[in-house]
Amino acid sequence: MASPQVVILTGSSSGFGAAAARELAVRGHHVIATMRDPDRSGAAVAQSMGDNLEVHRLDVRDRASIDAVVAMALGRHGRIDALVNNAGYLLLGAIEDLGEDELASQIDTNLIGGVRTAQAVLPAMRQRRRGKIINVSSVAGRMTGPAFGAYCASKWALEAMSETLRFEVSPWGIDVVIVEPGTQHTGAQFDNMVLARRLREGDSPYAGPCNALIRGHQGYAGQRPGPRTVGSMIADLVETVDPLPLRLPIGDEAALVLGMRARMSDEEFEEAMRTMDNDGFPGAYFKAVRSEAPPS
Amino acid sequence: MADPQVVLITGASQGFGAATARELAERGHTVIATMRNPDRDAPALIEGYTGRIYPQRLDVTDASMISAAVTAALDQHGRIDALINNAGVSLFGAVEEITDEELHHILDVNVVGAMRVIGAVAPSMRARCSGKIINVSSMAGLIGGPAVGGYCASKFALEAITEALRYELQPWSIQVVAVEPGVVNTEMLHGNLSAIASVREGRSRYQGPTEALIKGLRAAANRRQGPRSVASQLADLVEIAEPLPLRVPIGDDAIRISQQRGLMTDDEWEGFLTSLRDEGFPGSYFRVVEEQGVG
Repeated sequence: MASPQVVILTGSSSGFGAAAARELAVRGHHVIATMRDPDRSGAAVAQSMGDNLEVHRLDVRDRASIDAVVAMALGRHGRIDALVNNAGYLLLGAIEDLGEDELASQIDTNLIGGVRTAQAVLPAMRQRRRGKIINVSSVAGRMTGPAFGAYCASKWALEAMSETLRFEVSPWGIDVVIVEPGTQHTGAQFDNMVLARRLREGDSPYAGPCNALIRGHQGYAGQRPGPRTVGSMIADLVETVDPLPLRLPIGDEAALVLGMRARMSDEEFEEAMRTMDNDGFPGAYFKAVRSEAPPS
Repeated sequence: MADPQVVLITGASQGFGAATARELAERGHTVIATMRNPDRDAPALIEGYTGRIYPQRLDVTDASMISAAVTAALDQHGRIDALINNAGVSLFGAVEEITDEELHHILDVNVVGAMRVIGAVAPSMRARCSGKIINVSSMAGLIGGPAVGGYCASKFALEAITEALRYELQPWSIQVVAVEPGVVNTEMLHGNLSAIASVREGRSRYQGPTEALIKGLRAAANRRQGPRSVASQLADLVEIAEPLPLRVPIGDDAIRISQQRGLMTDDEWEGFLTSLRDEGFPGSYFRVVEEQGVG
């Protein structure tokens, strides 16, 4: 099997990050699982993983914290074979309702956070002429819908940045890959979801459809599988010796939605979205719009 | 999380089947793990999973054995929520030299075998207006290639059956889905019985390229991961409450190929495949054809 790899993951306190970190450790790799608050979440992630998994504090908004972990990892292990840029959160709210600070914060974490971390590991990867950068995007990296504008903007931008980076670093044998999971049952859809302030404070003309969407989406997410498959697939990507494709949609939802998106014209896709009558995204939103009186 | 499901898996002695049985058991589901030889293979599978994995003798080529196994499972567990048709065999060798017997055998196991088990399980699913049938196809269910004609034929056929069955069982809310793993490091690619007789006996006119392909595919499998991700994806599909898509490719190679194939014309695809020379499928075959020609 694959020789032990040294892997840094961001956002490893829960969800995909924790699942991938633990799966990699189970497979015998050296895992540097980073998170903002190790005191709160570190013990659960590291439990029974022994020396294979070390937890460190890292905030992707804070370049100094990134540099410190990268220096530590290089000092201790001599190399970083793979970086998994996973830290991110879901900001939900209609575009008109988004505060400038809220949008900036979404982009700072989901997009620039990944860029900062990649920039920190690249010098060592270029020097060794090898390495892998795995950016955790989403189905939302190639489609969008109501109330998901900020999140989708951050993920679409992450995809653009990944595609560019791939061209730039391939001369050094460094691979860049985007993974696109669908909705899974993780904290990102529940406790870690951030609502736009105006929506939270009941000051939104989009409140009805947005709240229906949140209820519907969380109802849906609650029934979905947890992050184990995505974690296992990320571990596969770390281990894979052969060149990786640019994008990897993972799971049933990604196969369905991105398959539709690729085969349909913009008009067809928009019509399909608008007429969906599911109780989650985006059906719950459009159903609420249809059932409400026209906005004043 | 998902309610505990009762899942019947065929071909559970090793590979995807065994890994999926364990993954489902770990998630709290009840697994009827069927295999041809439980005396030999069940103890290793159920170790640590007693009371969650129930081994059962079943040969997908034997209709009466299937019927008995399904009846026993329904008696014991009351229902079968999901059927995973995983049992399958591989076959390497040029189409020109596959014997009737060899072709019949792979179709009997990979295609008719799945249909037999579906036939045994579907009545109880229809009675409950609920159920899932997950057919383990392959990247070879999406694309053909040299020296794998028999295997691809069986998997293309399984895809067709999946698609037809999906329409037929939809009125009873029974979902049917095909999964398409790529090259995964499992026992299937390491046995030595899967080549056709002419290749095994060293008298094939396609000997060099076919042997190179088998060797290249095994080398590729050794570079790749074991079945954990396929198992986890299959367990997800068992648990998912929402409607499933018809096809779910699994793994970077299968996802890439399903995307590329969908975007290319037949001519473009053929040009792309025949340009490959790297170790594995189909590069190893074409490289030897280019270097040595065929016999």
